[in-house]
Amino acid sequence: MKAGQWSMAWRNLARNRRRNIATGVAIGLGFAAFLAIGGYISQVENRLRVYTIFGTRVGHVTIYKQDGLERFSTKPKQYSLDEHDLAVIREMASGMPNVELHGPQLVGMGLIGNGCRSVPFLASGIEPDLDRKLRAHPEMKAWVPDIRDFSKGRGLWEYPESVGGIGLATGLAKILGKTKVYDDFSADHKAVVVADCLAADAKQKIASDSNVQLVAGSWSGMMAALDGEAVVNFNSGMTETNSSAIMMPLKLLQKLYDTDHATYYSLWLKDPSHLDRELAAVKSKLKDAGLSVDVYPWTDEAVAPFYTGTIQFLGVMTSFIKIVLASVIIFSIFNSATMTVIERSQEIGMMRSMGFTRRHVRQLFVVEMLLLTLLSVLGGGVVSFFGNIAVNMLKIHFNPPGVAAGLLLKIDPTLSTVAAATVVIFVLAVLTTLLAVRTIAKQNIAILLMGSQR
Amino acid sequence: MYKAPIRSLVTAFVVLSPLVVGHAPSASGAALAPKAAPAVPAAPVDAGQLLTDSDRARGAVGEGISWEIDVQTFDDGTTNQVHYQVKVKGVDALAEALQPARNKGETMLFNDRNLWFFKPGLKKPVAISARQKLMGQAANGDIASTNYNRDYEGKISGEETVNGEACYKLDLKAKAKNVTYDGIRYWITKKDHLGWKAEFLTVSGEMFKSALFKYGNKLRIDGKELPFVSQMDINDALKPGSHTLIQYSQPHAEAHPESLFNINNLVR
Amino acid sequence: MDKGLKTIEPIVQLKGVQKSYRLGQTMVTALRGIDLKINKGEFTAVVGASGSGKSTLLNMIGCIDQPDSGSIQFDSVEVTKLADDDLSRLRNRKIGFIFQSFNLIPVLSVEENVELPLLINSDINPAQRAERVANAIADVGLESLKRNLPDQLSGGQRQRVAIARALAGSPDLVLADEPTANLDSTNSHKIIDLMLELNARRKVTFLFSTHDEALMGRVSRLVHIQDGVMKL
Repeated sequence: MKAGQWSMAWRNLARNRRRNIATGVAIGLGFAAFLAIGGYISQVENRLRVYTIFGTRVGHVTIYKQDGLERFSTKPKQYSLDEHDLAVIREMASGMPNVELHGPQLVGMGLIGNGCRSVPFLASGIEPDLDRKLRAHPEMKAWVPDIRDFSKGRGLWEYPESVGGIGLATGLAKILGKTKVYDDFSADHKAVVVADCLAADAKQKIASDSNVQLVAGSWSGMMAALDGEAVVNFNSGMTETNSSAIMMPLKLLQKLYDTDHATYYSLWLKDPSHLDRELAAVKSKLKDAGLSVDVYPWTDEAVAPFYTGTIQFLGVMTSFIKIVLASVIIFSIFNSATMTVIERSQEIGMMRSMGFTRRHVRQLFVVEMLLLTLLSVLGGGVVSFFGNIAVNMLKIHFNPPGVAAGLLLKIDPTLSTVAAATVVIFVLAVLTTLLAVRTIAKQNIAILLMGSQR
Repeated sequence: MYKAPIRSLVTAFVVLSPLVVGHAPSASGAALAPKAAPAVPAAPVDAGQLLTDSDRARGAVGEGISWEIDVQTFDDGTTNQVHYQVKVKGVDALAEALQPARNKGETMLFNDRNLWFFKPGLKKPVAISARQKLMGQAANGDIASTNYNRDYEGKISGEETVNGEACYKLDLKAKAKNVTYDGIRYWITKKDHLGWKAEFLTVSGEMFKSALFKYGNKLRIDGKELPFVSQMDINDALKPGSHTLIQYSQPHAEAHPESLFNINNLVR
Repeated sequence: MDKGLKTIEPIVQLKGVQKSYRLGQTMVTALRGIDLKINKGEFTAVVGASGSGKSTLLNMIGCIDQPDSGSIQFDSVEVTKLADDDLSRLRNRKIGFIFQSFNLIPVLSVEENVELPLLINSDINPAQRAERVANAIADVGLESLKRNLPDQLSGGQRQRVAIARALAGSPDLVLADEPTANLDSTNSHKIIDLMLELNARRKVTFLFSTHDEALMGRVSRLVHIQDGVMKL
């Protein structure tokens, strides 16, 4: 009942070729669809994950002053990490072997002006060297090249502090009419003051330097302002921030707000697979050091609402599709197996009378369905392979809500997706077949044998 | 960049979206300040006239004048103080910080409703909004001359006694987006036509701060002595106890050259 | 009838076997207290009219159906008390079946059909299996057709395959339910000849049901059954 079983199953499949082909096509296409969904989801998941951790620089672990996440925006001074906090955290992070990168960041808002008009900005201050290292990270290269790569100019780390280099999100640069960056002008280029903002040449004058001004309420309650040079344009990744986001060296932003604090401190791990363990370690170390801080994993809705929200939404949506797909597959197999079983009831009776046990009978049909599933999965895999290549070659751009530059539709199932889909299909095939064969395997042999004699 | 504080900042942005400032030609054009004012108000009262009269005691006299202010904030147990010199002529105004040293030279230039901020070291002046917070509860628009008649559509909605003074109660609605407030409830004394109390409203009509005024100063102009504002105490409606005190001193007539209010002369 | 003392021991013994089954709305009593002993080496025909209970009796003896009451001993084992898997094993090792409609698996060759019951017999290895299959096919004279599929064979040839399949496991008892019903008289006689020959040569016990008068004279023992009762 080993080798012969497979060959018999193969030949039995040929007995009702048309039905089995129909069933096989349903299984195969179902498998391909599973792969497509899985491939799409894993793409989106990876992109969002890397976007969140590296693109928005949340890090794998984010440390806020206690209650800072909620209260920073209203009372920044009180709910930010002070110099002492930062020093303690930095020392701790430097001593953790699994921490690859780490650093403080400051966020804030204000107005950015081009000499004629001002618009609101959302600033993120980061140590330029950390920004450089993050952008060089292979994860960013692999999953969010559009966020990683600048659309114009060079990184903040390329310029001395005296330049006052800042980065403008592409949408903001457009709004401000800053079509050129610092590198497009010579180093001794003088800022051009626009005398009459309503004049015909005002636009041209605005564009003829990279100089911008930032105005904000400093943490000491005063209005503060500073000069900056737009050295780089970047894609913030989000529609809602791409027209207002700026990034700048931490020190420069601290100068604007007249503080030496930071909003939060992020850790990027070498191996993030034991996030809970690292999180617990960070918490206990900082507690021992006497710091009142809140420590969040990047998966926390509080620090990564976009990631968790999108993934949950996609999860619900694809679960629905997966259920429909699984139902189609289940019904195809059930229908096919039931018909086959009924057709062959007398044959089953004969085999039972020759000593085949109920288990043998079930096995017989399961093996047949396994073989059909194997062939279908192989076929579906081939369809999926070429289908995905075709889809990826078409370079379909789509604009998911909130994503500034739009995304390239890419279906690239990972090995684990393929494995998972295969397992699911095979499990469905086996269970459904067993369900269809269950009754007949228990049927009285004499009645089975009478089948066609009556 | 997408973080919770940022999220609330984004929300704040939406609320403050009129902050986007650009210098378009002013709709109201030239100054509306009248040449002379009656010492005794004539009946029947007109909302526009009440505003014109009360604006005068808050700096909108049309002639060149100057005064100094002390802006003092009281917030969460911390205080800040900045001393400004304010120069006004018609619809233009210039406020320059004199003290403390760290703020010295910070300048705000009002060209009609357009507002510029400049401080030494900046390469260019920055267009800002009158609505933007200067410090504490004071908006930028609060520190120069008041031109409510130019900026708001007024309607008398009743009469009330405020702090022992019989007042007309006016409802003011912003005529343009770039004015300091969306709406104001304004109490003007019946006797002298002085702005006595103000409640500043959000776009949805909710009060977010209020102010009480005192008129202990006198301004001599064209041989006449006018009452002039000496104190504006702005209270935060959402944070009881937080308030900003603006104290006015030394109002006097002064001839200002036009060039003083030219934006190009800010960048020296 | 008896072939000697050695074979006098019974292979199957039924005592008071009763069986009813539902046919549509009515209960049909197929067997009403059957006492029967089949001895080893016998060549027995169960005869009776259609609906007399022949098939039911064979089903009881073949352990593919259970009586409502009474006892059936197969090789001194009370089979009415056995679990399904034990019954399967007993059928596989001790009983061969030949059906009226041959019941060959159409996708399997002659050889493979014959091999089928041996595949689930773990007591024999592949070499033994091949040998038994070859012998069984030789016994029914189908060596030249062993690679053919059932639908490439005549009715008589198909029943020979079925006989070979029944014999391949070296059973103690071969049950044949109307083995010649689907065959013409020439082929019927050939099949009976073959069964008789195997009975004689391999000492296989045969029990078959028939209503073919022509065959009745050729068997060593006749069991008459009428309305579920044995008639002597």
